[in-house]
Amino acid sequence: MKKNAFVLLSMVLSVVFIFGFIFSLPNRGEAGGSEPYKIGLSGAVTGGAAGSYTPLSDGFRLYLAGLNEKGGIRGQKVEVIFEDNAGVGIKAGANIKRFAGEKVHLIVISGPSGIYVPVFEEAKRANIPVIVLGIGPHETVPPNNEPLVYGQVWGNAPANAKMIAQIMKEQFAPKYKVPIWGIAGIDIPVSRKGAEGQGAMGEKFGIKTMVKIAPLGTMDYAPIATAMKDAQCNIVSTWGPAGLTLGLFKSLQKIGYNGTLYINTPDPPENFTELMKEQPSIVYSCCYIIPLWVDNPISKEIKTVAEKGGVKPNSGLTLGWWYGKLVEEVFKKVDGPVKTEKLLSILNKLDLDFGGDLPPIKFTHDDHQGPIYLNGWSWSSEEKKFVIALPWYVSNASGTEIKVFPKSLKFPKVKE
Amino acid sequence: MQFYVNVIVLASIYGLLAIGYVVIYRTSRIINFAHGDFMTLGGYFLYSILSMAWIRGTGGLIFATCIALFISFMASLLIYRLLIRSMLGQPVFIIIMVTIGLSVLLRGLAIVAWGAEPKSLLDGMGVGNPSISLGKAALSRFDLLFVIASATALLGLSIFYKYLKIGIRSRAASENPLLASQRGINIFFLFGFSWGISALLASLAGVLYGTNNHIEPEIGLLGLKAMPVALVGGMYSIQGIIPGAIIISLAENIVAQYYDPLVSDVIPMVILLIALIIRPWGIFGKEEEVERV
Repeated sequence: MKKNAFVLLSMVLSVVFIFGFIFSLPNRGEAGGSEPYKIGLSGAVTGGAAGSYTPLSDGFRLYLAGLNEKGGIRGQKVEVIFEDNAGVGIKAGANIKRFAGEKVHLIVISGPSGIYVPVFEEAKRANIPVIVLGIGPHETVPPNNEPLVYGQVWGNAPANAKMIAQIMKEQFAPKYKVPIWGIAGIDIPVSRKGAEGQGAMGEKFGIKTMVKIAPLGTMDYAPIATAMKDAQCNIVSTWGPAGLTLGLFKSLQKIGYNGTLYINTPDPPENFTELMKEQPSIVYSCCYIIPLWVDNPISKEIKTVAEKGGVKPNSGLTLGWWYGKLVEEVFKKVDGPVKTEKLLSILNKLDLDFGGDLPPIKFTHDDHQGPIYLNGWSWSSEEKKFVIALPWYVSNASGTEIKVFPKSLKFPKVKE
Repeated sequence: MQFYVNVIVLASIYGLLAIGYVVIYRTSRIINFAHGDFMTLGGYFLYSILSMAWIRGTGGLIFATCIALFISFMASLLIYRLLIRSMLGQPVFIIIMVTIGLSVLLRGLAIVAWGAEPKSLLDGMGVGNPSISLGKAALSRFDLLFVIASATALLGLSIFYKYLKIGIRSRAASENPLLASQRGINIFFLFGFSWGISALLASLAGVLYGTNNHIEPEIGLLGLKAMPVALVGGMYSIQGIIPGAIIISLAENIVAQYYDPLVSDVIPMVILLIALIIRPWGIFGKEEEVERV
């Protein structure tokens, strides 16, 4: 009897102790007054996709480092815990687990589409909001919003494909009697879906298309270039990383192709400057990377800060910088302890305007991406500088409404 | 016509890379999985040298290329001395594992040293890469240089192994290292020399590829695709590289251009498997080679 009572008492005390321990743990998202705002940044700075994504992470970190130097947000610092995901899903998933252990308030990711599923699963498990830097998966942007995922991203296939097909139809196709549009992608989900989606959209817009998907790591693009030339393609564009564009366009150049070349990529324009100077007919477009050759206060500031921070100035930094501003604005709106529910309510009605120097951001409960902006640049042999080659095309996230604005350095403000 | 030009150019790229595998294997029986990464290093060495403002024009490019190749040669000797030489005598499997580790290390170092973004070598150099018309086909200046370099290397090494004393000694060291060393042949020198020549040729491929296209840390993967060329031709045979490279390039171009580029990626390995089933010692190899290995 005595023995049983002792066992029972031990069990009760153990349960009390365990519950007491659990409830005594500090809640994630309840940073105290002087606690820093914690952000987990998982970026692909090594691996095959690092060329595209490293500047994004760098820009984000540079902006927040500068913000901390200025005193942070209302005196509270922003702590960025950085982990390299190497563009590999399993590593990115492990990063998120670590961030959850570190009790971060917000996760920011930058990497190829292969990292998304493990990241979103882990983030869901830990109930932490995720902001995607730059290039997003089609499945997570409207109309299929993931509740915790936000980002005004490049890879919104339906809207992006529609905008580009419209550009093709209005800007390039009229130059040719029978326009044939060759589109190349790489065999990674975001690029493959993008290229195929663009091909289907081109056909809808009445342009004959030819889509070729190259294996990841392709080094010889001559067969694809020859196939496109043989098919009499007179407009060629790519939907993928810089290596694809450089390889294909140089192969086309050497076999004597003289049609239109269009670069639509999340990669910084620095990767293509030599190619663009050699072929002034090339038009470069990107939704959110602002070329550093644009003369505005933010470009100047980024160049100065990058040089000071030992980072080579690169237009990709602008994207990370822009999202650094987004994070600053989000935390500024937090009053009291940071909780996931509070962050989501702020993100769900975020409306930021940067005076036309950076793209405006507008998220709603049903739209975690906001408007998409696209213009184009090419090299002017006469002026010896890059000039605006296309008017602004602005689309809503679902791609149902595309508006055209005159050529301008400033991002146009879209009135609802 | 353009199709045949594409086949010859790709065969030349594979050929120049495959020579390096054969050179090391002929001397030391090692398959070097880091070979492609010496291609990457060659391209990056040239990039760093060209970054110096005073090197411009064709003369500057040739000068910089010579320096880059020399650095690659010396770097590979250093790697051989520090890493491979102490491993000699160990089972081949262990040395192969070391070369795989070396490959990962070199690729990582390239990213740390030069970054992961693609780099154009001719940017601001004042050297063009014009298209050369061949009637209904065309190729670039550096494509043509690839073909010339590959043919010259094949011819040069054939002469080297057949007629030069050092080449004959290399063959002897490969066939029976113990007997060769007892006869006074410095086999360690020959092994090191073969590593140097192999790295030099891989770097030349990197330089030509980089000037023709661009460089990035992943271009070393081309080296892995060139390995089946050496195996199909016969790991012991310089001449075997020619049919090996043409067969693989032809098959890859047919599939990429007329069927699906995605399938073309596996073609070298498919051909390698077929070759290993039908003739494991390669087109120009000898049956006894496989037995000995």
